[in-house]
Amino acid sequence: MTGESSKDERQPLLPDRERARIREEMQYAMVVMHESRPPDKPKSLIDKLLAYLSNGFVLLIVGALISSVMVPQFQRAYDDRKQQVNLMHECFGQFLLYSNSIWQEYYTILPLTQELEIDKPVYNEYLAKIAQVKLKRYDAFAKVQALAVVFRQDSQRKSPVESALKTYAIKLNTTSAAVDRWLTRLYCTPVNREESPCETFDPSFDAFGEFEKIKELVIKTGNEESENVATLMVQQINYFNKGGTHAFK
Amino acid sequence: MRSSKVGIVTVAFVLVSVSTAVPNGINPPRPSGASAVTTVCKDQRNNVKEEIYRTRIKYGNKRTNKIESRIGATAEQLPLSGIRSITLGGSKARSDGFVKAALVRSDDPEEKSVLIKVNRGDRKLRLSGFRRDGAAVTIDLMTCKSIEFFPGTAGAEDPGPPVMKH
Repeated sequence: MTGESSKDERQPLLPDRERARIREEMQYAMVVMHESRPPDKPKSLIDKLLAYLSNGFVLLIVGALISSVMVPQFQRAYDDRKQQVNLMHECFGQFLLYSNSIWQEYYTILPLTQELEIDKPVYNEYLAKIAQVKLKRYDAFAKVQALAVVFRQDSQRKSPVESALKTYAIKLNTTSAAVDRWLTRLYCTPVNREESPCETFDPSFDAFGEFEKIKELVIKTGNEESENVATLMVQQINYFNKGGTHAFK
Repeated sequence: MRSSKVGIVTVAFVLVSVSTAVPNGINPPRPSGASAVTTVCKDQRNNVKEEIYRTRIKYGNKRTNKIESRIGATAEQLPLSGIRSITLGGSKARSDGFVKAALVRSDDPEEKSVLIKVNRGDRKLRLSGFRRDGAAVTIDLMTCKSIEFFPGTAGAEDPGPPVMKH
């Protein structure tokens, strides 16, 4: 009983003639469909390239090239630029220390304006104080001078910042020399003493009047001149920060 | 009371107010005696003029930058920087150390007859200072026929930076 029913199930559902008819109809439908489709356009170069790039292996090669060559190159350029900006900032900071030193020198000698003359110990004491200010200034100037190279566009040619720095340094030295000379004259010129402790002195020296001249000089150098250089530096840094080159003038 | 306080504050503000935003230093006062005075003494005998830089009045070992004058009973200590000229009127001082003189002040062009002290006790008052080359010079006041006073460094040339003694 069970053997008979399984034999019936194995029998095909459609007779062979019906199957053949369906196959023919299907073939006919495919021929019609194929003939009714518009002809394929020839592929453009971009299409071919895109098709080529969409290949998994090609994508792998291109990705590897980008991550091993181009990314480090961009990163290096970015780091270099960042480092240059940092050096410019440091240069600016050192310049502020350098330019402020003339005010320190000025305020160091200020109490002596109330003295008519000074003796050797007082002279030496103030000489030591001024020497400390000068040494700090020389240190700051050496750093500014070295760091200012970062503003160069051409490694062989000096930048506008370096030229402005040199001019400023000469003016600052002139002002500082005036302070030196004033202190020496105050020591050498006798007022109540019988004679000068120095080989020669200027008998026409007016300590207070000369100090007033120094004050004018310090104000000019410490304000106007230093502002000019500082402005130039800040403009250069801003210009460079915004993506410009060193060619700013 | 309140209005006077407001007035004081206003005056104080006007005195310290400045018109600049940049560092402007400090303005210390000129100390007393800081003004260098150059004098020219014309000799009584030969009219030769002697220029004295950084003039002080010296008696004994003491130095001052003031000269004592008297008009009637009024005595005055005149700073050398406040005098334009003194013309001494005699060759001998009185017993009190004064001598007649004609005085012209810096702030008053009118010549006034005064007494000028030229002796203090038994000590002669002297003009003390330096020549242009820095050599010390001392002249008795009484040897001068007239004395002209120039404040500051008028007429003086800068002899250059000083050289330290070794």
